Amino acid sequence: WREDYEGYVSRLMDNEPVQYVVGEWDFRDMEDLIVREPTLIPRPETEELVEWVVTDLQDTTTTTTTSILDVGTGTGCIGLSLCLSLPSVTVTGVEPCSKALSLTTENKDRFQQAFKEGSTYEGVWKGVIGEYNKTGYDVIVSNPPYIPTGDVGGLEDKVKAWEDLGALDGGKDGMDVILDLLNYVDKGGVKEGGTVYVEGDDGHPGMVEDWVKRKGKGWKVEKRKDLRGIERFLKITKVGHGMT
Amino acid sequence: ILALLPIPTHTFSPPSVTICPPIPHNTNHPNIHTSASLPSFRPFVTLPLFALDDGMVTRLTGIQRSFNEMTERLADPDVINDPKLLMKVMSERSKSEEIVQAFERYKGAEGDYDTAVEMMRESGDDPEMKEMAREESKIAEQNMVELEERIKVLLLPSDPNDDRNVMLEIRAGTGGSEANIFAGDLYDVYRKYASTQGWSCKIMDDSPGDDGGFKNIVLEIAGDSVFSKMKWEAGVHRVQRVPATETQGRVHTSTATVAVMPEVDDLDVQLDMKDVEISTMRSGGAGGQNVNKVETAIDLTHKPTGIRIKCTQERSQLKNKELAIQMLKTKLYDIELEKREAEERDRRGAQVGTGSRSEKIRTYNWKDSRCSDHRLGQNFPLQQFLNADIGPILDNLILKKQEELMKAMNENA
Repeated sequence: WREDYEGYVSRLMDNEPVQYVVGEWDFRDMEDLIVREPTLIPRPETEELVEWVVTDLQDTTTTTTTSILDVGTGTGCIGLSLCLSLPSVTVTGVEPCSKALSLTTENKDRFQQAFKEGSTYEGVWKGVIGEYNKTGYDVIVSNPPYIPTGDVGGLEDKVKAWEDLGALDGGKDGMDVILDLLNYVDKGGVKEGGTVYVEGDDGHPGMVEDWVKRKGKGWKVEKRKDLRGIERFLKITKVGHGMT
Repeated sequence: ILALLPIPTHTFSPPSVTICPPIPHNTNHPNIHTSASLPSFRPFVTLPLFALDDGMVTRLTGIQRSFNEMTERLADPDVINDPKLLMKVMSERSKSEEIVQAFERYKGAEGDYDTAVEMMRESGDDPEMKEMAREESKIAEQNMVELEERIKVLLLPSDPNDDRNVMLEIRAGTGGSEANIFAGDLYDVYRKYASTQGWSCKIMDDSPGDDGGFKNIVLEIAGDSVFSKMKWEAGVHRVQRVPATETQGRVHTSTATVAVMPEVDDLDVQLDMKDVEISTMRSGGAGGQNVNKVETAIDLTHKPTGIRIKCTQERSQLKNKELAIQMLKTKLYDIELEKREAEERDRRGAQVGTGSRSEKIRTYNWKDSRCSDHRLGQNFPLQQFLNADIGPILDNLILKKQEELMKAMNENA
């Protein structure tokens, strides 16, 4: 035990995130979600994102299952949390990094028995959303990389030195992956009347609203602040022209 | 030969009986049935003067009927397969079990009495027979009196909150560091006591004092009938001793206030989330993917009442939020409860529940090694209290409350 203890202490003194040292962390109802370097450690804000989805979906009763796409699964926390909170959902994941992909699978195996009735986690497709061909989902949820490239250097060491920068860097204004996602939605990624929930950086929801307006889409965009008061979340309801 | 009724070795177990306003006569109380349903077990002989009156018998018969119905329900597959429902039926049934048993024994004793009286009449000239019958009737009479007493106590209305778990808050009062240390001493006692009762005791929130103890500590105590016992600890506790921080050996008086709040079900409290302002405790900065945030503390303010709650217990922000909301509901319910009890106190001019929150209930004096409970006007050994052996104090408090209630009941009857 003493060797273990000294090992942990030296890792913490290296400024390694405590979540990686412990190897597991809480996310919503999951008390021991496996976390492993370099896959992004789930943030508390993402709990709020999932909470929004759950609150919206839990009161709707459908006779068929709801298909959900989790874009950028990472640890798998979003999709798995939905399967644990909602019945009759089918979750599919998209994830380009193989380490994250296998971590998602490990967590799926861990939490599968506790899924609500009728809910399944179908699998994870390896790749980026820009190249994903399956469309027509009921719901899309995503916590994509959203830090502007220029800000990555200024991130705290604990994040920068240990977590996958590919899961953080969102291009020039942090919007690259979000834009890929919007184009995917436009191509039919989500059905008519379907919904898209995204977590972004401060100001991204407003930028998405502008994009929707400029492109002349009739989509409904709702913005929401996180518990710190930062406008971070957005929900798109894909309504076509002429539909109210 | 008549079988002798076994006499219980102790008359009642105080912790199972507690407080609530008496049931008014004209309610649709499920246990009160009309006289049309009076059973015909009463023999034709004249009843002794000390028998239970008709009203009581009607009530008891009703309770027995409900008890039998609940016993039947326990065999119902629909109930067996629903764990929540099963627990509910079982606990409802067990509440009535003691009364029903006592009632059965009472009926048995009454039957014995009637048989004995009959025998006395028929024994005619046989003096031995007569004497034996008289003995039997005396014993039966004694049993009936004891059982009647017991039944009356069991029928005393109970506090609807008794079964609940509690949030217990200890707050240091006057006395600075010494008050904080004293708050810590009280925490130790309650923690140990909870353990002896088989309860779980979890710290929900705490502000440690600089020299030890706590400025404030909130515990969640869960288990069987926690509120029925812990409620007696609510009020101001006073300590007189030489503090650990005192350099010149002078005795100081400090206080700590204990608040005991029954945990609430969602139905008990109406909470409009629009009245609640929630924020995380670290404000400023980018958040989200920008930082590794280990501390997921939640800070919650209920605007209408100004109640402020912070929660740092869990690793998940969502769980902290849920816990904080639960604590808020508990506090709101407690305010309601205090308001209602204060109204009752004004109306009846008598002690209801456990007295007001700011009442000085106990003084602990180190020099004299005693713990005085002001409600009882009695002293107890200090060491007994510090060893968390608070059972004797609680039993006395419960007994005193029962006596008050009985008196009130007899005056109203």
